[in-house]
Amino acid sequence: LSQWRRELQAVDEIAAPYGRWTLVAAYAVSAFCISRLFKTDWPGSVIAALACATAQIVRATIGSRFNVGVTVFITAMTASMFSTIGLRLHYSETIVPTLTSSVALLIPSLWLVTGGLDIMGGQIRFGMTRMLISFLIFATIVTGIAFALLIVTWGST
Amino acid sequence: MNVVPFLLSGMWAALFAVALAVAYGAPVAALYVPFLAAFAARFLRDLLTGLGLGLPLATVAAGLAASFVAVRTTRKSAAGPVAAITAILPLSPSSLIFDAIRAVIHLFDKDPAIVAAAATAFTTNTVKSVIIVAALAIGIAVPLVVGRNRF
Repeated sequence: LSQWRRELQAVDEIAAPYGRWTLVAAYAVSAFCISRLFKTDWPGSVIAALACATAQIVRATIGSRFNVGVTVFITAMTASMFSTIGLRLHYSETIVPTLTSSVALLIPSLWLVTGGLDIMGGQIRFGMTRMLISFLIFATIVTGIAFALLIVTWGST
Repeated sequence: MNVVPFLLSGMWAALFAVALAVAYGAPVAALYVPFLAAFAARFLRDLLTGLGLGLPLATVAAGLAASFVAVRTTRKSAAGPVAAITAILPLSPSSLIFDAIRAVIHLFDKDPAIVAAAATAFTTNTVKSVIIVAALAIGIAVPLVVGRNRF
């Protein structure tokens, strides 16, 4: 057990190959590209990229202090609030794709797919655990988006 | 058939996969693998759906293509699974999942008609998402299990 812990600690201590701002740029490019795939207009793509970059900065800042649930909640709220403000200023006409793109990278597709692979490979418990965590993250994203919409649309209806 | 939109989709998916691979810490020397795999997967899926094939079957084929490209181009490194996973993420049902999320928000509306529509949308999108995820898992698993790289 102590050997495993040492190995895990060694893995944990491996330095990240890219710097913080490279990761922010990578997430912004990802959001821009996925928004193009969702048929968002150009201003909407820029809004999604900026929202995702802002959310990534927030995630990198708070990620080491809070657990995954709180981090995802705050990140989802930041991203959707940023994109909702952009949309309320009428910079883009493609509302739903822009909102989708800004939080798309929070959706745990990776865990879902690897969970499916685990189940297919006979690792039922691992797979089910990954799936369950994915659904909990979905619930957290829903809550974050709902809070952001509540804050941004407060008093406007 | 005009394939230019499919090529454009493939290009955006390839750039998305490369950016995601950077976010996941993939080395610079291996970034061409997710680019190629994602391009092949997205182009193939759009082409097949354009030819009239159903989305689940086209997704299985796209997952197979991404995984095959990843395994073939990373025979001597451990980057195959990472490349394959980042390549198929542009195919993941993010928009369906987001629609399901939006439906959840409307499930607690006061208007019964809105609640009924939201319940239908939530169920439909969730079932579709599960089918797409299963199709992706099947597509990506086969070459990785048959080939050298295994999860």
